[in-house]
Amino acid sequence: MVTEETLFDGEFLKKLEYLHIVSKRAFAGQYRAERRARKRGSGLEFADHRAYAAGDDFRRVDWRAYQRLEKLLLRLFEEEEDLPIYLFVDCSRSMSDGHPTKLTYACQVAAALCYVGLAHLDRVTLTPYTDHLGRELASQRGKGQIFKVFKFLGQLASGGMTNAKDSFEKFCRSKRPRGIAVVVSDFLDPHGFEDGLNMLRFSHHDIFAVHVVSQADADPKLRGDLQLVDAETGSTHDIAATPSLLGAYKKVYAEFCEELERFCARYQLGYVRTQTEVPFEDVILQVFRQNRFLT
Amino acid sequence: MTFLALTATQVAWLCGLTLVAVIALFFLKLRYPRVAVASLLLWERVLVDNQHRSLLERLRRLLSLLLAITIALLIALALGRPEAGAITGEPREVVIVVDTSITMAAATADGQTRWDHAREAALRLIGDAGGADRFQVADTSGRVATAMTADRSQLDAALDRMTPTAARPTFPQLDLTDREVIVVSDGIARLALPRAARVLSVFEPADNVAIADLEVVAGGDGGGSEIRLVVANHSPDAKEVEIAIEMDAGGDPDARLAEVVTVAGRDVVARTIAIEGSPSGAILARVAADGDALAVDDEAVDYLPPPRGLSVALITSGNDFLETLLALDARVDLTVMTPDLYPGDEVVDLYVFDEFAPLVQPSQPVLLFRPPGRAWLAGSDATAPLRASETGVTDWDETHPILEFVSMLDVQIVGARHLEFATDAATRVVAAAGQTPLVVARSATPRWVSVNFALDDSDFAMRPSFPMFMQNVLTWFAGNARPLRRSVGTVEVALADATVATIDGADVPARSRLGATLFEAPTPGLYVASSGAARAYVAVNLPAGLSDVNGVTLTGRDRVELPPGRWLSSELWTYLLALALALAALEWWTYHRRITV
Repeated sequence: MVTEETLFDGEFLKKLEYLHIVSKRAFAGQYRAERRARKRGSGLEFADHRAYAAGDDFRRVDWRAYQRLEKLLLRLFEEEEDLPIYLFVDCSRSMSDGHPTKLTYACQVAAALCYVGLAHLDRVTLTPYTDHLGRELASQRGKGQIFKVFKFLGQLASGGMTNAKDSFEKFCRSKRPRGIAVVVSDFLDPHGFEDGLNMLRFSHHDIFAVHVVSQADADPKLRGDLQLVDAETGSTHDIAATPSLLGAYKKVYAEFCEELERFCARYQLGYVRTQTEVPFEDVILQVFRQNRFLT
Repeated sequence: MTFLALTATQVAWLCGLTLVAVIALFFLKLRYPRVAVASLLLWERVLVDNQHRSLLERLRRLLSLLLAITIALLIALALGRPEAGAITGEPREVVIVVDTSITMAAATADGQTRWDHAREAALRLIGDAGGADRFQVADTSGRVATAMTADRSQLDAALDRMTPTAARPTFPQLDLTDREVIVVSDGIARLALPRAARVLSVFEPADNVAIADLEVVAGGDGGGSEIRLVVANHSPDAKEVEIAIEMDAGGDPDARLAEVVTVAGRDVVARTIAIEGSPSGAILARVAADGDALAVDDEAVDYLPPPRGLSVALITSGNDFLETLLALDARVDLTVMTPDLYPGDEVVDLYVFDEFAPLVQPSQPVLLFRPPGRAWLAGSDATAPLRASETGVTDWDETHPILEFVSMLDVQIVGARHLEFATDAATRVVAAAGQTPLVVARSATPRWVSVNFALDDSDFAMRPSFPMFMQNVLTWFAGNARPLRRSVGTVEVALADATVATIDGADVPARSRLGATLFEAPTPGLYVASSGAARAYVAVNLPAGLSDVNGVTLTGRDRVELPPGRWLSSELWTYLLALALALAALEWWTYHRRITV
């Protein structure tokens, strides 16, 4: 189980405050935050004019334009809104693999993103999933909510099978505002990773896939005759771990990663692959920056 | 194929059980170690890709099973110690007798010796034999003999201990029943070979010049001595021989002879050198010639004791033989008296009692002829029972100083007293007729010699050996005895618990046995044996007749040729185990490369 102490130390939190989530689009929001929204409103920065219509606020009529053009025009201002960030953390049993476990690593990633989002007054929703959606941490705003996030993440435990399609389908049916959907997972979904991501894509969320990889997944150190046990399904398979078989596995695993990366590239989804053995701080400060996830 | 450790049925059962056990163990489903992985999703893709290898997988299992069965069966067969005559030959038991006579020390043309060749031949006979073959090696000197064994190291060690020696070569007493007998010899020694024995000859013609005899003879007309030297050439051709004789009285050697003589092939030459005055000391003779193959017979030694005058009292009722003989000896100052005039112990060097013995032993040495029984003499008194003796001497000890060069063959004796002598380490019967002691000598001080027959009752006084006997007795009594002449090898001296040293004073290891002292003299030399006040010089030389390195006597025997080297010289089970080990290593190698399972 993840505990709060294992997620961040104070020094690391301080570094994260300077990071900024960049959204590739502007999204509509319920609260003004630090990002421009497509919606025009009561912000300070002029955006456009439109013709006056009955019922409009007289205070926003542009009288200077009326003097020049003799038309009643309304001044429109860009409204700064908050950004919904949906963080999906894969809590299936396959995430219990690795040192640290992929779930621990995923929680650290999720916590980091939460902190950055909260610090910039975005609305952050944390949702664990396996073959169904777990109990989510409802929208939070403000840096002071981070401890709720830590507590929530600290209570997550791996278990169950992976079914991203069913989980995300249920999420999309709940009519959430469009926003950034960050999926932190190993994407070892028996039903395939495509359906789950497509479900979010079809709901017009801006998707980031954080692919958490453990050394045991990428380069298993197996030797001799073994019985492999699937951590999720419990199914077994006898193998003779020969160098050629391990080589074939590594090749298949690399192909799997490339498939996921190609899928994300094709549909302009953000994609980050990281190994649990890479120090978490480096990942946040370097890998995410290299992938333009944070600025 | 036969089995030495188990019966064929037992081996068949063992192989069968091994086969069943190996197959059962092979198919026994072992639970593989369980390893949890995040997902089998990708593993299944890999395994699907590898499905086409299932046939190879079955072949791998079959190959592994075959390897396991082969290894187990090889070990099971090895336990039975199989023998296949077609492969390693039939097991044999071979007795190898190596001739260690002195001629085996003769050099050969290649710079080695016949002994070196003989040892190499024996080693090759053993080394090239089959692994199941067993050997027994023995020499002809009676010193080294092993049990029948297959232990090569034991056989090699026995051969290492053997060396040519001047001891009389005899065929060893061994159990030869159903055994192959091979004699490795140069064929010179006269060995009584068993009928089945075959000879592996290491003979090679050689040249040899030797000293056949060296003797110092006292008693020339002028009272001096003579050195007599005989040199033999055993080569087929004439040889130029350098002869040198030196006399060493303790200072610088005095060269008495140095000349070069030509000795014809298979001929001898003799030289006699008169020694004027009364010198004494060691006498060393040497010969040298080109191409001489045997060195041990190129030297000979002798010893000339210092002369000494003796005052002798002869107590007799009348004996012309003794009176005349003692009166003629230049060393003897003779006094003759009858027994009734015997004054008791007086100051003379020794007494000669003829058919008389005092009740009290004199303090000086005594020679007695047919003495009556006396307590000091024989442990019995005058009333001791007498028995008629046999008429001839049946046994005498030529090694004893008083009988050296004394032949008692055909000496006729009418009768002798049969005294019960209490023989011990100091008292020895040196001549006897059956159970009747004829000559008894006591070496403890004061010494005495008892001749238990009267000179009138035998023809001993008429024999040429009688003066020699008298001279030996006087010399033995005088304590500066003539040197004992012995052959190289084990030397026996009739002195109890004596210490032995070379003439130069170096100690020689010696051991006591039955009142005598034995020591080893591998080469000619002069030794001194001392026991209390008694002292004896021992001149050790090579016996005459052992130097003929070309006198082959072993003819008409089956000859043995060294067999060609055998490819498989060890027992079959060692190869089976080696093969099993190699297959196990192969299986280990292939297992770790997943060629086998």
